[in-house]
Amino acid sequence: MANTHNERLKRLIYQTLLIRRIEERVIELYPSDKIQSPVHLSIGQEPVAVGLCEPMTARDVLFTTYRGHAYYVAKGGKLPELMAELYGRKGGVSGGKAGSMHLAAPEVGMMGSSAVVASTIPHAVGAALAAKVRGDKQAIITIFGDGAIEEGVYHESLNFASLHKLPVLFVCENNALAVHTPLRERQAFDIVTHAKAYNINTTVIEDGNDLIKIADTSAKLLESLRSGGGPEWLMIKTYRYKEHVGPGDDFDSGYRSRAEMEKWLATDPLYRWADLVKEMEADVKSEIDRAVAFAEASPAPGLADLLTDVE
Amino acid sequence: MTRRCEETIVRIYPDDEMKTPMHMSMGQEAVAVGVCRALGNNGDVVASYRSHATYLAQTEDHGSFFGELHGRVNGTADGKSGSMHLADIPKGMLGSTGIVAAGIPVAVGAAFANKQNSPGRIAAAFFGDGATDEGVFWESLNVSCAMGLPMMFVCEDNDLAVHTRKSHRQGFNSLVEVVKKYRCSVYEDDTNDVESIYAMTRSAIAQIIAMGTPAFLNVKTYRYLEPCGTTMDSDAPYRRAEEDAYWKGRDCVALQRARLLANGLAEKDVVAVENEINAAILASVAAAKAAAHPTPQQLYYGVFYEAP
Amino acid sequence: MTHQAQPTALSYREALFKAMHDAMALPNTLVFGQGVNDHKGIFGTTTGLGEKFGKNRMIEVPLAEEGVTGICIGAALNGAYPINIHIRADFVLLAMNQIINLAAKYKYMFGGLFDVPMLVRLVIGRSWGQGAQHSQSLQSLFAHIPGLRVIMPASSGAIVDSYAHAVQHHRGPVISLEHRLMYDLTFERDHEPTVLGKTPFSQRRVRKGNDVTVVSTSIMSLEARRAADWLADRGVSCDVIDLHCVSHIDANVIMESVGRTGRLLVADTSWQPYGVGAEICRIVCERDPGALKAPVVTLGMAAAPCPTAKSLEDIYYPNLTTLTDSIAKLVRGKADHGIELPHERSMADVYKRFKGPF
Repeated sequence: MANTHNERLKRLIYQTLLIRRIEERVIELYPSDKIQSPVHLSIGQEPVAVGLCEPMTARDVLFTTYRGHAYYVAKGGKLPELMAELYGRKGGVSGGKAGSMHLAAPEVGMMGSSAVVASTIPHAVGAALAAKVRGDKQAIITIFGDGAIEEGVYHESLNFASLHKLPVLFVCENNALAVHTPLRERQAFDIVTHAKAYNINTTVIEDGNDLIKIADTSAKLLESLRSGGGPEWLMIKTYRYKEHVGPGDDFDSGYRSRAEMEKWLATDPLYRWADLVKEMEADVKSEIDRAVAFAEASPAPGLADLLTDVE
Repeated sequence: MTRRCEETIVRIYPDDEMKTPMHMSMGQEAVAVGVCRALGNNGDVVASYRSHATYLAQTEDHGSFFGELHGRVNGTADGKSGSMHLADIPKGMLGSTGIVAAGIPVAVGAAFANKQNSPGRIAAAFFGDGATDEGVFWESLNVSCAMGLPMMFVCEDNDLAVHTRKSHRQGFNSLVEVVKKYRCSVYEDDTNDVESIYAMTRSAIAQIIAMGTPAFLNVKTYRYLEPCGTTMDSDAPYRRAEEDAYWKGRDCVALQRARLLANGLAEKDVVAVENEINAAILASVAAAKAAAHPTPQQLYYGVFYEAP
Repeated sequence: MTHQAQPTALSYREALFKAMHDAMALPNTLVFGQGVNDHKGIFGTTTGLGEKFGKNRMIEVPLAEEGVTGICIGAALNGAYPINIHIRADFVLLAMNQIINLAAKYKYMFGGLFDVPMLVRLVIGRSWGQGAQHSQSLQSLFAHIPGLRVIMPASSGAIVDSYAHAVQHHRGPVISLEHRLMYDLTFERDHEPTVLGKTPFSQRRVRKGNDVTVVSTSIMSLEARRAADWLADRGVSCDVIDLHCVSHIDANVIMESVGRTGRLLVADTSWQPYGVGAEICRIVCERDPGALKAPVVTLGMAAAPCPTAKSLEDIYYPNLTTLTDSIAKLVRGKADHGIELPHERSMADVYKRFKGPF
């Protein structure tokens, strides 16, 4: 391993590890009922978020889904505020009103996540329109699962972005499962050639564990957006280790097999670079401990907060 | 017959007896007639708000048609529906809606029911190319292809959503190319010729039944009149003179008339049929004018389900 | 507010055009609508603005209500002020996910991190057989949702002032329901109702009186003014309040009036169940039901989808006669109140001019 390669890889691995361990901490804490929020865990999909966000600046704006922990962290959102938000405390990034499904950090361009499938895709298109009209060299990114593609609003968004040549990167995190239903029963078309038919450049990354490849691809596509090249569409194949919502495993439920996961574990960067991971564990743990301590100490919001920020 | 009905509307609309927003089919009749005749008695159709041609082609009933446009009790819905919501369930005319694309999933539902209950029966959704801008069109296409439903999508492609051309609405080059990505068969026609559309629909029906997958028919056509109303708007800025001339040179009624004559029918026989149609339409209009207005009690009928 | 440079009278349509023009003069405004740049220009309210300010900001959209509403929200989150126009209120129902699940909640759901400043213009259709899907008056649906500001401008002044306020000062989503039948009516500046509060979104007093409080919305405020004028000549004095902002009602305005009159009639443009009338009753009942000397009367559309036949449409909506009769009955306390009623069934002289088709 060359040293230059090392520094960058280390950064990426550290972030991946941080997200993995945060979510594992969430799993650990969940039985205590301190986190009373439906958690859609990213475990297994973290390298996608980490790689994509590497070349983004705080000015680049990202919209994501209810499976948003990884993006919040990768985009640069603060950990204590994340943990306090999951705890439903005043110190949370949204004062305890958002919970797990609506994480945001506008100061670093993390524009929010929605619990309704596909609903933030047009927001990214609108943000890209505003940037284009202003003559701003901002890049706008929207993350969605392959389930979102079945929603009409996905088509409406793709069409509008292509028609107006907007600086938006559509990213499909393809874990081939919308909740529990496999792709074949839901989609009567190939999503890549379909996107291409909208006159949008498409890129596919088969290995969602390849941090460097994802980060390099992201950098190239964002550059194209900034130079006025019109929308880009990227699909990254990845794998969700945990159940759709909640902290558990679900390999006994019949819709997928453990062998599938084993295949993905083989390229999981946290196993592949186990030696690097080992060196980082202590730092990661103390960072998370501090975040949890902050959340524990933060007061719960009360009556005085109930009606603020309605309008 | 459809053309003459609408010409009658154009003539008598200014009398203000028909108080309903008219979305006229004129110019586009060949699509409805070709498709509905090919479906015969074995199809269910759902139309858009530009529903006159579809309704008349599916039901051949201009009596109820003019009754409804006049808001009288002999109309399709006792005068409660007007021009945009024509329906005749027993004849497989499942309705038309004032909301763009809203009827498409309804037709998919009918196709689903037909697959379970009436094998061989096909559901068809008529819509303009503007409706394909709507997400629900794509949802309907995906669902019916994924489920393998006996469904026919009929796109009446006049290039215009109200006044806006496709190039200002679509980010892709060709709708047909995108639709081809789905598990369905795709047919195209730009002849405006009712017999060609009929033949194409027959092949589509055969394909739907043989393959168990939907068909998408893209039929190029041309709307003569303004989007809503009864006036010719050839001078409006969105129109193009050469396009106007091209399509009016391929008028579907004129084409068919010429064919009948070429096939050896005598001019006087054609004129006789035309006169028969005209007289029947005049009788329908007169009957509508003579029919009663709905009573005040009818205002509340049919809002909720009432046990028989 | 200065009015020197403004004309003394404006039609509702001209007021809308002025509001759109003034909004477009600000560089961050984006207008979205089907037909904004065509030769009809949303009934003349956007005509020529695309040429003047740029079609990159006056945006012709595909028929994709949910997508376009989401695009507006995203543009608002990224510094723009979007205005989205639907030529019939009914069409916005395709965008309810974006309006209710997203726009209305974006600020609160994220604990105040974001504002979603945007204006949605909806046109209520009526008359000429608009039928069930081109005629709905959906204010209650929106006003029910926390986070939305719902206005129903009933005069040219209400348009000009409220839209300027929405575009320049208000930082949340505003839903405005315009009435198609008012487009051709001209409003004189000197006869504008009095604004009863600090912002243009406040309630308005159309006419001051002491016998009965009439709370009305949209075009019913015009009917209420006519009924009140008619009744004033016959010894009945009406206190007419144009609600204007149906989502944010100043209870003090209602209670002050009801406290004086002891009688309340609510005339709304929509269905009565769970509607504006019900909400006004809630306000009165929660604060001082004893202020009422008689049961409340509410008027609205018949509880059915809108029929197209003229004969049914005529009895579907409350009109000048039914409104005047209802007020007279309420004030006199009996059906045979002895007050002469106006002959017109509604604002017939005005409505008759509407010859459709749209």
